[in-house]
Amino acid sequence: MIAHLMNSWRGWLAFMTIFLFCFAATGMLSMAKSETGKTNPANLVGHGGPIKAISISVDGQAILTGSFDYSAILWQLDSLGTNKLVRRYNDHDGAVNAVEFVTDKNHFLSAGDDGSIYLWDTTSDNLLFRFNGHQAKVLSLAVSANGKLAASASWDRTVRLWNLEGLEPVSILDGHKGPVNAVLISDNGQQVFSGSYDGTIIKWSATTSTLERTLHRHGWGINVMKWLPEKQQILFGTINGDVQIFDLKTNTISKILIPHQRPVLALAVSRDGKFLASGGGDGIIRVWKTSDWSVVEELHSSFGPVWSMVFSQDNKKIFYVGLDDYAIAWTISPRKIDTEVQGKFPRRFQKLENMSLGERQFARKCSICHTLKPGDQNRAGPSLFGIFGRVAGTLKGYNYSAGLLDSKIVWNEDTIDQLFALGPQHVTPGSKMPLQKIAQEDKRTALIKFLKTNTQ
Amino acid sequence: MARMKFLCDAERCIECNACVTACKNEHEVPWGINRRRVVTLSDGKPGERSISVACMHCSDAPCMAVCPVDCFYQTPDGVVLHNKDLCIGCGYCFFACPFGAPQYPQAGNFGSRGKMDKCTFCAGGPDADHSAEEFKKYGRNRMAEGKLPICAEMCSTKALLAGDGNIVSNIYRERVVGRGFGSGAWGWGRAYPGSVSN
Repeated sequence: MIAHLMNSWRGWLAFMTIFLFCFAATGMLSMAKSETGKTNPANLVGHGGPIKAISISVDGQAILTGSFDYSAILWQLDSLGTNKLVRRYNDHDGAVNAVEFVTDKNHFLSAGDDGSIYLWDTTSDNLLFRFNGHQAKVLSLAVSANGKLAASASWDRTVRLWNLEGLEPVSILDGHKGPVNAVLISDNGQQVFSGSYDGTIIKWSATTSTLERTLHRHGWGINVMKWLPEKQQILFGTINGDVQIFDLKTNTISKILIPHQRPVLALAVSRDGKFLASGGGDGIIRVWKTSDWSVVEELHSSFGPVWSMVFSQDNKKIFYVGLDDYAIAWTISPRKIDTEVQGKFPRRFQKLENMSLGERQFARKCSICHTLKPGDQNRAGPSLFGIFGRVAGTLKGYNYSAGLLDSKIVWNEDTIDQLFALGPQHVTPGSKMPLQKIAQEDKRTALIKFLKTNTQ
Repeated sequence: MARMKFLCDAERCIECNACVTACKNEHEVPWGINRRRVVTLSDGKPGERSISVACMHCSDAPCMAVCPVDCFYQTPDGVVLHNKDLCIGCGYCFFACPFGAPQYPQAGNFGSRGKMDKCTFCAGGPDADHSAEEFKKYGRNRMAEGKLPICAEMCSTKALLAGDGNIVSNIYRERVVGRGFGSGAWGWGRAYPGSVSN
């Protein structure tokens, strides 16, 4: 048929039309595939950095996410699968590692790298209180069933208890020999359980603020813990990939599930307790049926780790987060995997060929937190659009630290050069910017030249 | 080019912590950071084992895959290093590492933004070999001096082996055959998938 078509100019025309159509269609398809994550209405799109934490409300209609972009976002879930961003909470001074609803959807807690715990009112969108005290980042939060007590686990090796009614600290639980990664509170609020890098799970008395006993010595660090229903069994995941269940009644490990090849970073238990899921640094999510401990599904996410995940109310979906800027809604049942697996794609900080030295500096060292576009406020740092001539700490809409608000610096070639030659801790002390220097003068010069031509 | 590997023989480790001390001393590792540590499994129970653990310099290093600023790189002989000028101390690699290798000093503007620190296989970092800057950030570059890691060199029972992967695995294989029991090279298969394990 092709030979017949090519025997006349009309044939040529028809052939070329078909060829071009197919070519365009293939291109559109691949583009559509690479954009699937952001265009799928079920996914939660709105963060400007990798997402570290996700939590779902008791009624299953709202989700919270916390991100590297220094913000937490409240989402409204739609029964039709179209999810809506309700509000972005960006008063944090660091990446947000943990988010937790306080009994209902009207209040929630968020915490992260700045070591503070933030109590928010979602009805008024106000920050009600900021609990300070931790000396390092906070990795996990738990709230008692009555919503009066909160616990936070920190890399300062302590667990702290907070009174959410009186808005005051209650006590410091000090006893771990390493960073504390996970914390749980019993239903009556009288016991606290913590898991640490030191490999132990410790039971504390919340009433006397004392260490009751070390429940389990795993050897390898505990990364994450979740309650099973009835709160008599703790599901935990470890640095060496183990997924196990500790039974509080028998004080023994009651179940050992298939380990991950890399650390277990995320665990989820469905509201009705019928399913649980483990996610690892290997990008694998395993879903288990708790009635017979069979694996009902396994997702091999092709890129990056699974930082956190939750089951939807109907147990048909898992919302999981990782290195992407959006939370992915994975339909477990009926099996729908092919459209959800993201391919390996170049991330914005990765080196690309044919980049100038200056563009490469920006891509590698700046682009994870900053954008060059005007009005793009969902990153950890402010937009660099119009940076030259701007007084530090004056871009409207960005939540600057006090260090920047008090600064008199005007950004120009000299001050930007100084910023990277000496480091932000010297030029803009108190800034939220990570400690980052560019020692080589030629790289600083190239970066400044690139910024000059791309920020106006 | 040799492929550098660590191997800890769990049948020989006596939890003396000499490797931990030697590492801290050689690299002047600051207080609160241990690039190497000894993990004891089944502590006080039958079958108790101790393992000296640090960065294993994995073939397909998971820390490299999760770093948001892409600060890791692998040397031609397989040593996984990182650039502290790029690292922003986010902590992602800590969760990705199956050996708990990354450590973070309590320094920085908001308590926990210090640069990540880890075992370098005594191979320094991206700064010029033997420069003051390299020593300050990464410790001594023994590899550039033609020496192997100090931790393995100091191990009194030779539980900890370091060096060319082929030589290390040959030594270990001979040991297992000789003693007729105990193939406890924990983590070898996980760090170097596809190589001969245990």
